[in-house]
Parts: sequence; structure tokens; C-alpha cells
Amino acid sequence: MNLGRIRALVLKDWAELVQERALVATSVGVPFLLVAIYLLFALYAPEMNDLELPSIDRPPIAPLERAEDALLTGDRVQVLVLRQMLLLLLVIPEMATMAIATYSVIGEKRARSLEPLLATPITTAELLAAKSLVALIPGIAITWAVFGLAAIVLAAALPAAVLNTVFDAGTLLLVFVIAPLVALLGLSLGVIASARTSDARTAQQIGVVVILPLIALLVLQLEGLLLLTPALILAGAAVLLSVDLLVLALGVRIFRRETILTRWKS
Amino acid sequence: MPAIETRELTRRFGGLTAVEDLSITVERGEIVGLLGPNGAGKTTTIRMLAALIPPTSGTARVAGHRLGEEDDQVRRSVGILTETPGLYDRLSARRNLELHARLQGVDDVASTVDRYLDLLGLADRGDDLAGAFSKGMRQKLALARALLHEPGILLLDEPTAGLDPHLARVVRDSIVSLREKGRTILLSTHNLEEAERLCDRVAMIQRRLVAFDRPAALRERLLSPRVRVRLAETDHGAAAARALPFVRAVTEEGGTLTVTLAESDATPDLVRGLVEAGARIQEVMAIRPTLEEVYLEIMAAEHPSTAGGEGNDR
Repeated sequence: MNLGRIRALVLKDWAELVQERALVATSVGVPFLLVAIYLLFALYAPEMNDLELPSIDRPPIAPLERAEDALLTGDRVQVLVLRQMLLLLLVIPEMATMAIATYSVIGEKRARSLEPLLATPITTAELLAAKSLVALIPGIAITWAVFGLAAIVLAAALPAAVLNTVFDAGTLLLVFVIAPLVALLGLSLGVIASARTSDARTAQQIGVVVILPLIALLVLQLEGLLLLTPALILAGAAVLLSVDLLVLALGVRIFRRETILTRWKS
Repeated sequence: MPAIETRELTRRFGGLTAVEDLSITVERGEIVGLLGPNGAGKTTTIRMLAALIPPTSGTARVAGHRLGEEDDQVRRSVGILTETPGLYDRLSARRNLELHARLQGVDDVASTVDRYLDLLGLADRGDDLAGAFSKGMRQKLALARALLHEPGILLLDEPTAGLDPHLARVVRDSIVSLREKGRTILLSTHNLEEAERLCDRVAMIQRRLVAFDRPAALRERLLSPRVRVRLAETDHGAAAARALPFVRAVTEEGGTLTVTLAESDATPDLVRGLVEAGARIQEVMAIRPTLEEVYLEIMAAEHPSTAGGEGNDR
């Protein structure tokens, strides 16, 4: 891998992408909207004191309940809402990266620049790495930025006991480890899909399917069937990392210059 | 060692054969034209030689490197001008070139880019967006991009397509000056006049190689010599010409005979024969068939329905 070539292509793409106002607005605006909703729920959760906690009598949720014994009922509701909604924030890097990656591919198609690009000594792996990083870096940066913003607002507004319970090791693992891995998986799937379809949007839709397991996790947690403990998240991260590496290797293996020329061109 | 050497190069797309058993040799410093109707396989040939797509069978060496085994070296040795310039419109001309210079591993990117902007007459527009460039300027910028890494071989796919005559001439002049600097150029074109003007040799392809030689040699080999004779009066002229044993055909139009000869050195005998028959000759002129006539003749013989060219090139 020649990092200089990857860097050159990434910087070129970013120079083009920042000029796409609609893309910037979508990639940055939607995550901030999501985090605003998240904060709204978080700050108004104490108003929902009468909410019946659905998980209270189900075995998997018991550790959470025990950990939160010291909290008032309103605080417990707030903790529950914040934890559940946190999973939604994991969708942000997926949305942002796929939007940017799709634009990046469409940009090459529109400019008809793939042929001269592929006539250079850049390898397929370098091209795919560059196209992934172009999307992955801002996607993760946006996620961490909105998470940071949420943390600052919540730190100012919530009692320390609630804050410490919500922003525990599990939460940090979700945001700093799981989110990038999920985004990478979506990207890699999208890239592989683009080898099989000539439409980048179809590839994007295939990449976005990784959101479904996240939603499944959210539902399982809401139903009290599962609790994402730090140990479970770490185990999930290990599995995700393995799947990511496998999918990346597959992507590099199945991609050929000709595939990119013919599939990404039309 | 030749700059490009192909042996039975073949490329199929599913059931469609785009190029079949193409064997050509391009010497260093030569300009060779690839001629053929749309869909004849010109672009596919160029893509194979640029290591963009692999051949289905056959072998090729480009700048001494084996295609399929040393593709990276092939890409470093070749500069390609694609059918469409493929520029990044939202970036400046300089930024477009800088990207490719970096991808090609050029050592001093800034000064190399400046040099090529200057060489192609774009020095004062280097910071303008490529999207604001005219067609001709875009083509020149794409040519500069193909040259940045100083390749010994240039593959040019329809370099003057869609350009007005003035801009086409500017691009053609650039091609000639590149040849003068020792570069080998393989040029795909529809423009037969351009091929005749620029190319040392032309390869006429119709999926496979149909003819490959110097334009003059093709003319001599394929078309019988013709002479135009203007007469003071037409009495006896046509009939006398037809009676001569070395005359193949005679057409007559308004006092002018167009005579097809069996041999190119038969013109003095034709003049003598006509004079002896009483014809009063005012002017005799050898007709030099154009490459277009040669091309049409060859293509018509090869595949009558596609001589004019239809469909997309592959």
C-alpha cells in the first residue's frame, strides 16, 4: 500500500466534497438533528415518571436494575431512555459514511475520471482504501462531534449520578469502538455491492442494511431481553472486527480494475 | 526492442469478440494510427495496452513489459488520453495535474505541473477551475496529465474528437512535437485526414487487423494508380484511352478523363497513346488517392455493412 497515493486521492475527494453543499448539509445536519432529538428525550425523561419500565421483571435487565437501585425513579427512566436512544446515535456514522461514499463514487462517474485514474499505478486496494477513508474519517468525526456535544449538554443538565450511569465504559465502547466498526462494515458491504451492481445507490442501500442489527439490538434492549454490558460490547466488537476484516479482504479480492471501470462507470 | 508488440491479442466480452488475434508492432518514436469504424475494437485495444482491462488471450509487451504480468510497470511507461478528458471540474487545472503527478509518483510535483501547464499553453489558467475550460483547453489539460510522468508511450483515444478545426490543429501540433521529442504514439481516430497527416503507419482494424502499413504503401498496394487528363475536345479521347492495354477503366466528365492504370509508371504511355490517337491534351495530373478512399475500399471489402461505422466503440 502506497500511503502517498491514498492520501492524494482522499484529499482530492475532500476538496470536491466540501463544495457539495447539499451533501455537507445532509452529512452534518441530520446527525445534529438526531442528537437534538436525543437530548430532547433525555432532558424531558424525568417528566415521564409514570412510565412503566417494560423490563423491570425480566431477568436480563436485572443487573441494570441493581446498578441503578440508588437512583430515583425519574432518574432511572432518564437512564433507560438515554441508554436506549444511544443506539440510535450509532446510525449516524453509517448514514454519513454511506452518503459521502456514494457521492464520491458518483463524482468519479460524473467526471468520467475513472479511466484516467485507473491508468495510473494506483492499486485496487489503494483505491478502495482511499474511497473508504474519504467517507469513514468524516463519518466518525461527525459521530464523535455530536456525541461530544451531547455529553457537554447532558453534563450541564443532568445529575452526576445519572451521568455516571449513562456514560459508563459500555457507552464509551459503543461510541468509540462499535460505531466505527459498524460504519466500516456498511462501507465495505456497499463497496462489494457496487462490484455487483452498476448503480451506486443500490450499493448504498445494501450497505445500509447493517443498520438493521442495530435496530434489532435496540428492540431487544427495550424488550428487556438483552443488556449491552461492557463485556458483551467488547465481544461484539471482536466479532465485528473479524467480520470487517473478512469483508474488506473479500472486497479487495473481488475488485478488479475492469470491474470498477464497467460497474462504476455506467 | 519495439515500443509496443502484440501477438494474437484477443478480448471478448461475454459472447461478443471486441478484438481478435491482433498482432502489431509499433517501433519507438513512431506514430501509429488505429483506424476503424465504431465498434471495431479501437478503444478496447487502447484499454488493454494501458493495462486497464486484461486480454482474454494473446500476449503483448508495452515498453518491454509483459501485459498481465508487469501491469504496474506498463502503467508507469504509458500515458493515456481517454476519449473524454475525465477532469475534476470543481478543482483547478493545477490541482487536477497535482493529483495525477502524485499518483504517478512524480518527484517534484509543483515544478513538473508548472512545466506541463506552460508546455501546453495553460500557465496563466492553472488556478482556474477545470470546469470553466473550453473543450480544447480541457483536451490540452488531459494531454498534460498524460505526460506528467514522462511516459515513453502515449495512447491517445480520439484526441481531437469534438474539437473545432483550430483547436484540433493545436492538439495535432502538440502530438507532432511529442513525436519530435522521441515519444511513441498510438492514436485512435476516426479522422482519416488527421491519420494521414500525423501517422507514420496506420493499422486498420475491424475487430481484427485488416491492414497495417504506411499510408502511401497502402495506397499503392490497394488502389490502382489513376490519372486525370483534361482535353481540348473530347473527340476520340475516351475511346482511345480504353483501347490501350494498360488502361483498366476510363470515366469521362466535361472534357476530363479519369483513367485507372494497371501500373503507376504507365502515364507517359497513356499520354503518347492519346496524342497518337489525335487527342489534344491540355493537362495531365496524377490522382493521389486519399487515405479515406483506401480505408473505405478496405473496409468495404472486409465488411460491407460496417464501412461507414455505426454503434458504440468498444
